[in-house]
Amino acid sequence: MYVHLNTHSIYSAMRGLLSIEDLITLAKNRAMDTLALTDINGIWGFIKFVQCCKQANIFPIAGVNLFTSVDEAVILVENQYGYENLCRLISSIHKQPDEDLITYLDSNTDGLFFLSHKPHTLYTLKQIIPDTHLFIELCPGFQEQKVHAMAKKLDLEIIATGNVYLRNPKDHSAHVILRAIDNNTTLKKLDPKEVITDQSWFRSEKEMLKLFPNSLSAIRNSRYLAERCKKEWSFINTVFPGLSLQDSYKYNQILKNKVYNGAKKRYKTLTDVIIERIEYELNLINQKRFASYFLIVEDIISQTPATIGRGSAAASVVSYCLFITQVDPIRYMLQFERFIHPERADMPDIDVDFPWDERDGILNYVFDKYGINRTAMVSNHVFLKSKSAIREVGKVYGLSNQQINSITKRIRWNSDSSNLGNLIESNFQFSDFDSNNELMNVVKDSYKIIGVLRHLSVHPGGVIITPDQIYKYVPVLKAPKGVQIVQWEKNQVEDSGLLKIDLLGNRSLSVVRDTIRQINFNYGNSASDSKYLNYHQIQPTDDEKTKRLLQSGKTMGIFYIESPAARQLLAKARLVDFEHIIIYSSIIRPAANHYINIMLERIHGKTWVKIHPDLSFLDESYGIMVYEEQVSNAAMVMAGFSYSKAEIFRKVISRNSEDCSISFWKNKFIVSAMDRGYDLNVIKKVWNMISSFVGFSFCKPHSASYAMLSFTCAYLKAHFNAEFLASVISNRGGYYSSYAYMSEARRLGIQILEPDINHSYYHWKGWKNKIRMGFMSIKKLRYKIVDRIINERKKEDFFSLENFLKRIKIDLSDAISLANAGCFKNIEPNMSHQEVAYYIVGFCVQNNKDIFLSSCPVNNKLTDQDRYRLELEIFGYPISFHPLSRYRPLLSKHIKYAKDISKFSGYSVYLVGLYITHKEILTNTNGPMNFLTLEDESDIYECIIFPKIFKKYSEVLYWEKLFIIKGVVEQKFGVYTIKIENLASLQQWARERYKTVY
Amino acid sequence: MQALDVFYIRLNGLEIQAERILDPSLKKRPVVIMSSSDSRGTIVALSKEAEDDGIFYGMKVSMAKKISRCTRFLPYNWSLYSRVNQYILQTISDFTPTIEQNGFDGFYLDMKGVDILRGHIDNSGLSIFQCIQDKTCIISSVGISVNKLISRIITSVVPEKVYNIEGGLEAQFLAPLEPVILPIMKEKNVYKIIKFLIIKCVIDIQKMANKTADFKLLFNKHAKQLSDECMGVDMSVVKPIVMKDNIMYQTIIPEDTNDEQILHTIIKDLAEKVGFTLRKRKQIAQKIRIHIYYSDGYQCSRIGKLIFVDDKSIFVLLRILFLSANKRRNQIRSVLVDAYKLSMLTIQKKLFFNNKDMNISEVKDKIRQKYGLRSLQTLDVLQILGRV
Repeated sequence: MYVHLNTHSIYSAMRGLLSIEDLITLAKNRAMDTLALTDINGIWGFIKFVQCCKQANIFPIAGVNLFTSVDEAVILVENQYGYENLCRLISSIHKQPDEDLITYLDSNTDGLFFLSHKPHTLYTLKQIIPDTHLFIELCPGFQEQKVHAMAKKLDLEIIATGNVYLRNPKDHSAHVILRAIDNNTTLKKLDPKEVITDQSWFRSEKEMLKLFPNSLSAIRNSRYLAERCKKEWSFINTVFPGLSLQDSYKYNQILKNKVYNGAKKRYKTLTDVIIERIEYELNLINQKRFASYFLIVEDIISQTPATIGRGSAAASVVSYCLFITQVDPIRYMLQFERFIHPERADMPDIDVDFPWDERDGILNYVFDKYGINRTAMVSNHVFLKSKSAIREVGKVYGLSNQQINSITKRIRWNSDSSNLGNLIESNFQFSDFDSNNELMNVVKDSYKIIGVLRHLSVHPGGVIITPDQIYKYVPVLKAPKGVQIVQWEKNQVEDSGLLKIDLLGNRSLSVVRDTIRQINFNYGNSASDSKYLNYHQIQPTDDEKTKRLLQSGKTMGIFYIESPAARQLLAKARLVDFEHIIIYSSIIRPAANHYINIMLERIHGKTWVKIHPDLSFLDESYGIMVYEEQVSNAAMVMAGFSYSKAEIFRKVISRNSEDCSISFWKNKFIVSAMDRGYDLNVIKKVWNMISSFVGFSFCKPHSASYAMLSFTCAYLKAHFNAEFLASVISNRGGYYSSYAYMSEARRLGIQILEPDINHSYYHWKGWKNKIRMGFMSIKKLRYKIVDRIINERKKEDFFSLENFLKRIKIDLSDAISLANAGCFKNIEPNMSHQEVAYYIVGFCVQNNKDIFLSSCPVNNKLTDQDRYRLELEIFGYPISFHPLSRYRPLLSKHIKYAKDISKFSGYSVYLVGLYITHKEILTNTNGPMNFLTLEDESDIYECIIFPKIFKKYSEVLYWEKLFIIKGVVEQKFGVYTIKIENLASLQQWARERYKTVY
Repeated sequence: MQALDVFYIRLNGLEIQAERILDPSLKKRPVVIMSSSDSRGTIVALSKEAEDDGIFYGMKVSMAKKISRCTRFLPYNWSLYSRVNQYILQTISDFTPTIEQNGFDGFYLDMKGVDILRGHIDNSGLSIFQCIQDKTCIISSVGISVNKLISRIITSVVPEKVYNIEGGLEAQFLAPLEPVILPIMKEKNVYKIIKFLIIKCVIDIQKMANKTADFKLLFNKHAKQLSDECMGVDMSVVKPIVMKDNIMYQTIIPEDTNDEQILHTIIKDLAEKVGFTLRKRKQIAQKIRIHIYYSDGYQCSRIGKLIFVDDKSIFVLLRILFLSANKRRNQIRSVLVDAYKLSMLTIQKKLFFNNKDMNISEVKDKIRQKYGLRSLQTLDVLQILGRV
């Protein structure tokens, strides 16, 4: 039976059109039992290919279609050694792309079969490859006679391949478009040599025979060669440094010592329960030879004090004692089996967050320590999606950006782009769309190329460390920004069994670190060097003040629970112990809104019954599925899956929503559960809960880790709000803008002080009820000037403007920035802004010659309008006034303040508001609605805009910041929101009514 | 007392007025002119109604479109505005021979001695205003003073259609005005200092200028000009327009395209037109420039040098220039060819070589001279330009 030995998927960037699933379906439909994947210069999708083949009972063959500047050959893997050589070969091609094939081969030819249709390549290869491993490729577009003649001449056997790129000849036009995009040209200018023949489609054996009627043996040879290739692939062997027995023993001992030392610091006294748990975990870790893995991670995290281990690793007491994670798994009953299970064959993940500004240093440390030959970063595969496809096809057609934008700007992130034609006909965003034939052709062609690999980028934190040469395990290449990356993305790396450590940057860790530094600076006893507060010693979970803060929902700046949805959830629930925060951290995800409301009702006492008595593990979360473990448990209990099968099920569900295997697993779950006698209604309810995990979900230990960081932030905000919010702004915030955090500080009674030449630092600094703005917020002020000022100030404070100008060599632009920011107000309290400016200009234009001008001939005072303009120019936001306060005199007294909305529950009110943030979601009927957060001078408030109103006012939300609204005050669980009925731009309203605009 | 003989004619919002003349439905409707229809383009002209809607000069097109949905957004129509401008220039040429152009929307007129013919200068101003309105339907304003600076400033700050400032009152006139009206404010350093000092009126600059030493120190090389301008002193004279000799042809393609064949034909047509005109004038162009206008407002051009004036040589050169200029995939709206630096054509007779290309061109010229430029055209040109 014929075997396709040269097929290309979407991973053959900008050439192939078939997804791996498509290829396998085509093979399956043509009753083929073996298939080779030979993408161009890479094995980008190989792990996925192997997995999909396994599901379809097809034998996968590894291979590559090698393209160099002169040669072209298909290379297939004979054995494991051949696979390693293939990886080396691909890596070297990406390293020096313009060489002849022979220069790459060197000694890397063992275990590989070579096929080529190019005479030059065949002649070259014949010199070094034995005839048993070198074949002539007969592929579509070549004459059989010529190929036979060449075979005779070279004394080589022929193998017929389909050189598959297309599903059928109709796909050829889409391939041409891809080539035009790749070559940055138009369809008409495209060089025909860049395009494959329209014969390169997936044929059955019969169709191959029809194509090559005189080459029966060549067609049969495909089977014979396939039989000689490696077809059994297993990626469960974890790969990490230190594999020898001696090393394993040594690492086990080191790990044990470190864990017990850490345990003494963490627990003070070691109870039997703790020792038992440590021993159990160490035993399992030793059995699975993971000790060195823990030691590597421990070594990396020891480079900086404020880190947080997340993911399932937080369920391990070993991680806790090594200070990798911060949650005590014994106290919070986190199950170690979620992390390492006797049945779990794949590598457990330890993901660690570092302060965002220290992460690059940590990565450098890893690369330095383990070397470039053993380390690489994980790549991200960037595929063409609806918008990018339309943009690229539009350019191929020569459309202007405006024409392209007329389509793309109407496609939102949550639009269903699976059928672009339908989207244009049915979506309200396209109601006034002026479509013509050309635009519709662009849309149709775009639809055909969605999902094709466009390019690779670098994963933000995934690092791979291998025991020896990385090129042996996976091909590597250099990303444009110079980092070494592997050809596989995160999921394939995980499934391949390579040791991956996620080292991610986390802003909140920097916030915690900086807040603690400020607190120690403000309150610590520097003389004795004793610290007032220590990151590892903060015990926030039982602190009453912290809980009160969480109950009020005033969590802006607090890690993970600061979004409007989270703030409202906290205020509505009012149950804010650590266990509940873990639940909230898990349930706030895009597809679980429905369950949040059910949970709130249950928290507030509504009676509920279990879905099924077997699902008692859901009791801890009010009968609602919130953690990934609950998905695995449900699969084990209801469908009878083994642990490892349930883990695969859980992984598939929590990954990409477009993964085709979800439907496969859905069927499997439903059928198995029905077989085991569960009622279909119960199964449906459970499946609905499981499907809310698609694409985004957490395990309990991960949520616990994040909840601990949330609690730590909340503790710092509750006790040291000025220091905390100053650090949030200094680290350039989180969910909100700096201005929003400044407003939050003011609502907490903190005074915001303007930058001052003697008291400001680069960052914002908090102390008691005051926050001093940092020099960082002054636009156009260079860092080196700030550095110079701070260093000079260490000797002695500046006592006058003259003193400052004499001591700091500064140019006019920097001096203007400092003066406009009001930095000299305290040292020259009697000088007007104009006098300061005159003095500075006079000094600076003379190149700091210590000559000062006589007094300023004009002396006008700064008006409020001038100050407002200056603040906007210098900081980007006003400091002295609330932007709405200038409109207040124009407004009727019927327009209420946010602080009073609770008095008008159920009534319609008018309010004005400054935009803080918004979130757009899709309703069940696919209508977009919006959650809008606004603030006025008195408070911050939340609004809901339902689809009908949103449709009417959506445009204004994207350009206006000041609004006047009319809406009904609604109350739910003691939290007030405004259901917007009418929304307008405040500036336009003022302009129309009073001909005034600020 | 100095004579008030410098007039400045400002064609207020020429672009908008011109568009409204062409399309009367735009009257009273908010209208803006965009630098480019691309979302990154900016607003370069706008009507009062559009201003009332919150749109302003320099605003991004994308933002303006969101703010005002009823506003009509028009692309910048250079050829229309230049035609209107030329027509107005012809109109005002009746009043004085000495006219200096200041952009599309302004003209300086030296009216020395005209008062003898027309009486009071206000009458002359009104006559010009009326004449422009009658002949072109364009509303203008006329500023009259002793120098160009004040005349121009008058038209930008005074609402009256004709206004004059007597000699000697210049400083007084400028005193309450904002400093940005002074031309020197375009100097980055001067603007930066004036803005930093929060100087809101010219009078403050006048006060500062009194302290000569400090003022010189502050504004350095610009001190003299700033001091003069703030006092209303301007010694420059009205310079008459000097016309540049060139041959220019433009083809606006009926439908935007990036089709190689169509563009090839258009260039061939343009080459023949330029060649015919050059040969007719017995001239050769030292420089020839091809200018490509894309549908998204982007432009690019290339310059080359002509050696022969036969159609084929011009076409080959233009084709090379076009290919090197057209590096984009976007559709093209028009192609313009500008031949300049013209000099006399001297052709050395080649005794042993038959110049076939020149001979063919000369034969075609004979027919065109007799029956007109468009009398002889290839079928592809006729098809593409929609004449068949």
